[in-house]
Amino acid sequence: MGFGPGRSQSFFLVLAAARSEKLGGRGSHVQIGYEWQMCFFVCLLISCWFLGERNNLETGRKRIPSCSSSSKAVLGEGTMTYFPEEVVEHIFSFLPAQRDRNTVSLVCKVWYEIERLSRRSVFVGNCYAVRAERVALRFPNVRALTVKGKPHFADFNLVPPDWGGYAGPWIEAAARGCVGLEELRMKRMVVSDESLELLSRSFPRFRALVLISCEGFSTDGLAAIASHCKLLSELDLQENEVEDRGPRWLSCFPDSCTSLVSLNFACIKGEVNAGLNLSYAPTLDASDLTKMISRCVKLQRLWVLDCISDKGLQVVASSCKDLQELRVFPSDFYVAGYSAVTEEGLVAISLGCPKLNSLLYFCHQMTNAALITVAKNCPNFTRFRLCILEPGKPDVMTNQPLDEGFGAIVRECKGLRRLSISGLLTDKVFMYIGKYAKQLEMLSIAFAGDSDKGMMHVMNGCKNLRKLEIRDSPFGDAALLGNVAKYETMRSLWMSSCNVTLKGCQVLASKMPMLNIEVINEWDGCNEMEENHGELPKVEKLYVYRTTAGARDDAPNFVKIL
Amino acid sequence: MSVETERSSTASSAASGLDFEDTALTLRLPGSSSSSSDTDRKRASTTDPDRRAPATESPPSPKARVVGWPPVREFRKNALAAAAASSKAKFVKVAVDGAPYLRKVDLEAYPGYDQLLAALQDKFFSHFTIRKLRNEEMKLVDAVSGTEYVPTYEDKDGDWMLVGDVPWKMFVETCQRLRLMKSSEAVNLAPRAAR
Repeated sequence: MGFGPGRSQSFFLVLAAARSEKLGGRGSHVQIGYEWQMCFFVCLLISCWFLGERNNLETGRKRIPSCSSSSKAVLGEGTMTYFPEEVVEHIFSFLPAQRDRNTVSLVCKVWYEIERLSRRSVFVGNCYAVRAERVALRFPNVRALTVKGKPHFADFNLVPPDWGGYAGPWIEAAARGCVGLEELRMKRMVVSDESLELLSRSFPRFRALVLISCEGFSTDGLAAIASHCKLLSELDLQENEVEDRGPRWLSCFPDSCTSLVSLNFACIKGEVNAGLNLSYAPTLDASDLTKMISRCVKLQRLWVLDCISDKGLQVVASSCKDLQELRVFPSDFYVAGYSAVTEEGLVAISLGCPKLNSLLYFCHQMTNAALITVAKNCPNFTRFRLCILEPGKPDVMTNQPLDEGFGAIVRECKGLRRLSISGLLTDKVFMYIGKYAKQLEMLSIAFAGDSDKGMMHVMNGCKNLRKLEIRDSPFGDAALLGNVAKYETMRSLWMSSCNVTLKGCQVLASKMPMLNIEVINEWDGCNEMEENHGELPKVEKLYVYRTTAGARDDAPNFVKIL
Repeated sequence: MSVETERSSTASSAASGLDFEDTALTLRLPGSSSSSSDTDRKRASTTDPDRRAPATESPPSPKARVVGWPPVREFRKNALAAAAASSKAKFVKVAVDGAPYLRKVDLEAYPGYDQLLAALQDKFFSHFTIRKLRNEEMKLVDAVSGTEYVPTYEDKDGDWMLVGDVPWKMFVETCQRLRLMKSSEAVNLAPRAAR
């Protein structure tokens, strides 16, 4: 009795359901569903075994019916016709996670078809990883689409303008193939007014638009959205570069518009109880600030400027016991010396806020001792981003690199998914990261490391790494080419001002045809040659990503795709 | 920002006392030479697309001028600069020797000494020229009467200082009031410290 597709189908169903129970697990809805699923699985298993036996008896030998052939015969014989498609689709509806849905799609063609036609939400982490038309064709009934464009370092002006990330092709493809679209979320993309106009006219049930760190549009585009999206309930614009052509667009919402529930185009967002964003308020008096915060005992998320000072953070630590996310931004970028927050504030927070799991902390100084203490106090970090403003600055007490401090973080925080490191760091910190940060998905490196070994530790050790972004670090071709298969498991790699040469990139391109190797040079190659006096020219900026779409056709002339 | 110091000072010491070319000059202030900020820029990437630094007098340290560092979104930097600029105002009284009325100016409204003096010129006098002398002092000269005025200010300690001695931001913080003092009286002020 073979382990045919019938068996594998039920196996996957059980697996997927178990996973979704672990992931979902909230509310009675899933509980009921889980019990329901168990009944199906029992029936499924029995019928699998039965039909498997029957097949063997008929032919007298092991026959594994091929489910991959799309002939009608398969549909007639396969176990899944025991259940109508609607039932299978209903079972799939308990698998909201995209990863699980991708998995069930792989089992057989029937499941692929059922899954794709019932997929409601699609997330595209890199707009150049797949063609927009292909997504629209595969998922015609999608209701919520999320697309991300430029790499993260574009936030800090490291990606030249006109690099790409155009929303147009996505909106056009959706307009052609996915008219039921209700929600669109875009991050770091270039969106034109024409695209917004098309969006506003193409989807009769459209209700939610979220644009984060996008550019290329004006308030005219917003006017189109306001005018034509009759069911709009959410318009969320965060940190976009919008050309302001006046407030007229606000009056474009029709008088009869009763649907708008959430409108956010200011910097402040979130309720006071759940979250407080004071990171755009530099003139708030420090004592007023701390008085206010000391009353926010239910605060879960706090964004502030560093003028809150260590004292202020101590108040936060003693008042906000539910705090989960803290971001402390620098208020004066160019003046060193006077440090508003130090390692002491961070230690105080770690002592007082045991639920803290997400941190972004800008400061002028740090010590290993403080980081080790923080790691012990807060082992629940999932996101830990520390930015010491002076690049390469050592432990301010011992003058040592901060390897041990960050080492403690990755060792204690077993669930760490995102990490940004700074200060003086040697290859040792990368050894720790590769050894301990097994759940790490995103790593940001700047001005760190001694040699290729550093990057190699990360590439070889971090099994779940998806995004790696590096700037101004001494990693070269050996590191780039040390584990080429790894890039297929990652979304992207960014390297700027490192020691990678064009030759190294070419070798990578030849070994890995499923990657796009983008070499971004903003000035002529000949300038590079002169400066290097015959040495191999170093690549200024490198962006590597896996893709099924091949080289993109909208690249500007300063981007070379190998 | 070039300053033709030598010619203008020679001309001004001549009997006529007027040199209309001076109105075309802009002032360069101690500690804020544009050449030093040029070298800073060279250390950064030549493709530095980021915005011009706020017009502070203290040249930022080279490390701070690295492109894309610190990793803060441009949006946030701009918003902070805008928030800081628009919300604070510092009005100080301006007295001019011999004038019957006091005026007030908002120091936060100006990015530097040039702009402040230009504004003073506008507010008080119709025929002022701003002149920069060899020893880098600033003077306003009433074109009609030929009287020279030296801009001075009272600082937090109550001392009267010559305007232009300290970096702009520091000046804004410490200045309590302004006085355009006649040159003849200004000799009592301490000479500018050598830098």
